[in-house]
Amino acid sequence: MRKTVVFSALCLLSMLVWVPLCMLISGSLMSGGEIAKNLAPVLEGKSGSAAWPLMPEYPTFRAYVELLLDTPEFFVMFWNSCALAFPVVIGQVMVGAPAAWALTRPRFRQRKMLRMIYIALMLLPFQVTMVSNYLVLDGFGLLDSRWAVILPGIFSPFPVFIMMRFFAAIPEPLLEAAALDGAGPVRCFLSIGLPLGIPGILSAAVLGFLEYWSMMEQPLAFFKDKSLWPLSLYLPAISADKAGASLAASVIMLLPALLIFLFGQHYLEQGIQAAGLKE
Amino acid sequence: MDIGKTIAAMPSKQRTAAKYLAGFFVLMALLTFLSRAADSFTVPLVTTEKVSGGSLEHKVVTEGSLYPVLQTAVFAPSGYRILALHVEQGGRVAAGDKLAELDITQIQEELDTARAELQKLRLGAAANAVKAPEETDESGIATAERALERAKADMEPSEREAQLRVESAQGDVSAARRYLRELRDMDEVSDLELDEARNALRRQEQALEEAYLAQETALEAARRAIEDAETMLNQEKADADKAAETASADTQRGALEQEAAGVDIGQAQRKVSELEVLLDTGGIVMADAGGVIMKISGGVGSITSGESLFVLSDASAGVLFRTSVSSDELKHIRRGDRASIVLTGESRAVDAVIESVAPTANEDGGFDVAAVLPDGNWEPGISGKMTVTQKTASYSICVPNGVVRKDQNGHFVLVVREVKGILGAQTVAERVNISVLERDGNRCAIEGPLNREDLIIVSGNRPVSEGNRARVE
Repeated sequence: MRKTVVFSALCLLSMLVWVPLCMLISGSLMSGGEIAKNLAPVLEGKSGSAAWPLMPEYPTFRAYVELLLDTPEFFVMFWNSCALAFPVVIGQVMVGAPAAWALTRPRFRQRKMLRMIYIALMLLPFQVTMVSNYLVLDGFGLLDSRWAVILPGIFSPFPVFIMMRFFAAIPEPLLEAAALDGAGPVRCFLSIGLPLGIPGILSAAVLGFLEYWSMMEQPLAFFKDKSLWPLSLYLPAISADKAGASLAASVIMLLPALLIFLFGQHYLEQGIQAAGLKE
Repeated sequence: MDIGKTIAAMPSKQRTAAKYLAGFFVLMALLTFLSRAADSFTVPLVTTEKVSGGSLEHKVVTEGSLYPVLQTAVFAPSGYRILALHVEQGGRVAAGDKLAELDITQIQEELDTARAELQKLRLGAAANAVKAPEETDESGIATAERALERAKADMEPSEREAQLRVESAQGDVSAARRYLRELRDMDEVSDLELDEARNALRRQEQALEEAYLAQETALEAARRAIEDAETMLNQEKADADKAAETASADTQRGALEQEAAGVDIGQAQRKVSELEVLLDTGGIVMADAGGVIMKISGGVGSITSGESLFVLSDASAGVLFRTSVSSDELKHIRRGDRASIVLTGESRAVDAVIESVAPTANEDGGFDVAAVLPDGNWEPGISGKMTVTQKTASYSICVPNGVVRKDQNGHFVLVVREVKGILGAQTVAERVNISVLERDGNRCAIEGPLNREDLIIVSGNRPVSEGNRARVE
C-alpha cells in the first residue's frame, strides 16, 4: 500500500519531466495544418490559448521526411554542431586528463594555488569572460572560424575538475608500487592513471558533449558568418508554417544527446559514487 | 588504447548505446547525401547575373538600295508608237547613245498635217488683214446744218414783213388820230363825221393790235423752226459719235484677233520644226548624258505618253541609300546618325550618315530614310542592309530582357536571396518589383530596390517562380 502511494507520487512528479518530451514527439508527428491550428494563439496572435493534444489527430511522418530528405540545409547545421562538439570533447580529454593528473598526483609546492585558480576560473560564467575572450580571439584572428569556439572549449577547467576527483581516488600505494617496479611518472599516468580514471574521463566527456551540443552564447558571440551556426541557434527560430519541421529537428537533436548519456550513464553514476565515498 | 577492447569490456547496455550512437551518425551521413541528391533533382539550378549598369543599344536593321542623288528624265514627244527600245533597265549608257526608236511614218504624217495646219492659219491671218475699215457717215449732220441755216435765213424776212406791217398800222393809227384832232378843232363839224372819225380810229387801232399779234406769231414760228433744226443737228452729231466708237472697238478686236492668229501660227510653226527635227534624227530618242537606266516607262509597241520615257541616274553626283522604317523604328534614327551598310555581294560594312528622314508619300505611317555613302564607285540599284545603332544614356541597372517577368501586379525580377529559418540558410528566389524604363533588342533598363550584391536569376534548368528554392550555379 505504501509502495503504491510512493509509486504514484513519483509517477506524478516524473510527469513534469515527461510532458514536454511527449509534446515534442507528438508535435513532430502532427501535420502542418494541425500544428498551425493548435499553436495559432501563440504564433499568430489569435485570441484564445494554445491547445496541445497528447496524441496527434492524423499522425504523419511528413515533417521528418521533409526535414531529412528535402532540406540539405538542416544537415549543414547538424554537422556544424558536430564539428564544434566533437573536437571540443576530444580536446578536453587530450588536454584535461594530463592536466587533472598533474594537479592530483605529483606533489609540488604551488599545486594547491593552481587548483584554486582552476576552480575560480571554472566558477566564472561565460558571460563574464565573453568580452576578454572576444578580444583575445580577435587578436589571434580567430573570429568567424570554428576555432573560436573549439579552442576555449578545449581549455575549459570544468572537465579538469571532474577528472581530478577520479584521479584522486586512485590508491596512493598502487602508484608507489609501480614506481618501485621502475615506472616513471608518464608510465604511471598512461598505465595506471588512465585505465583507472576511465569513468572520470568518460563522465567529463559526456557532460562536455551535452554542454557543447546545446551551447548558444559562444557561436552567437563569435560567429558572424551564419553558415557556421550550429543547430542550437536555429531551433528557437520557430515559425507557424515550419513548426512541424522545427519539432522534428528538436527530436533529432535530442537523439545523440540521449544516446551519449545512455552510453556514459554508468560512469556518471560511478563518478558520483566515487565522489560521495571519497569526501 | 584499443577502442575495440574498451567497447568489448563495457557493460551490454553501454554497448547497445554505443552501437545506436554510431548507427545514428551513419544514418545522418546517409540522409545528408540523400537530401543533397534529392535537392539536385528538385531544386532548379539557376544562372544569375550581378546587378550592373550600362546603356542600351537600339538597333534598327532595314533593307534598302542605292539610288543616285541626281536623276534625269528623258522625254519623247507624246502620242507616238515606240518601234524599238535599245536599252534595258539597269543598263549603262553614254551621252548620245540610242535609247529608243519612234515610228517614222507616223511622224511624217503628223508633220504633213502640221504643215497644212500652219498654212491654213497663215492664210486665215492674211484674209483678216485684207478687210477695209468702214467710213463714218456724216451727211446727216450737213443736212441738219443746212436746215438750221435755212431756218435762220427764213426768220429775217418774216420779221421784217411783220415790222413793216406794224409800222404801216401805226401810221394808219396816227393818221386817224390826226384826223380826229382836226375835226375837233373845227367848229362846225357834224357829230356824224366825228363819230365816223372816231370809229375809223378805233378800226385803225384794232388793225395795229392785229399787226402786233401777227408779228409775234411770225417770230415765234421762226424761233421754233430754228430750235427744231438745232435739235436735229445735235441728234445727228450724237449718232455720228456712236458710230465712231463702234468703229474703233471693231478695229481693236481685229488687232487682237490678228495677234492670236500670230500666236497660233507660232505654235504650229514650232510643232512643225519639232517634227522636222524628229524626222531628221530618224525618230530616235537619245541620251543627253551618261548614266544608268533607272526606269523605262513604256514597252515596244506602246504609245508614248507625256511622262518621261526613261529615268537616267547621274552617277557622278553620288548615291544615296534609301530605305523605309516604321514609326517605332524611327524613334531610334535621327538625322546625322551613323549607319553601317552591307551591300549585297560585299562582306565589308560601309559607314554612312543618315541624311534625311521624312514621312513616306503613300501614308502607310512609314518613313523614308536616306543615308549618304562616302565617296566611291557605287552602282545605283544595288540592294543592301542598313544597321543603325543608337546608344542610350547610362542606366544604373540593366538586365537581359528575358529576366524581367510580368504578372497582374506589374513587372518584377527574381533575385536569389538567402533566407534564414528553422531549416537553415536557404537560397530562395525572391520577387523584387521593378519598373521598366527602356528596352532594346537584348537588354532592359529597370528601376527598383536592388543593390549591387543582388544576384538576378537569368535562367534555370527548370522553371523558377517566386518563393521557390534555387541553387546558384
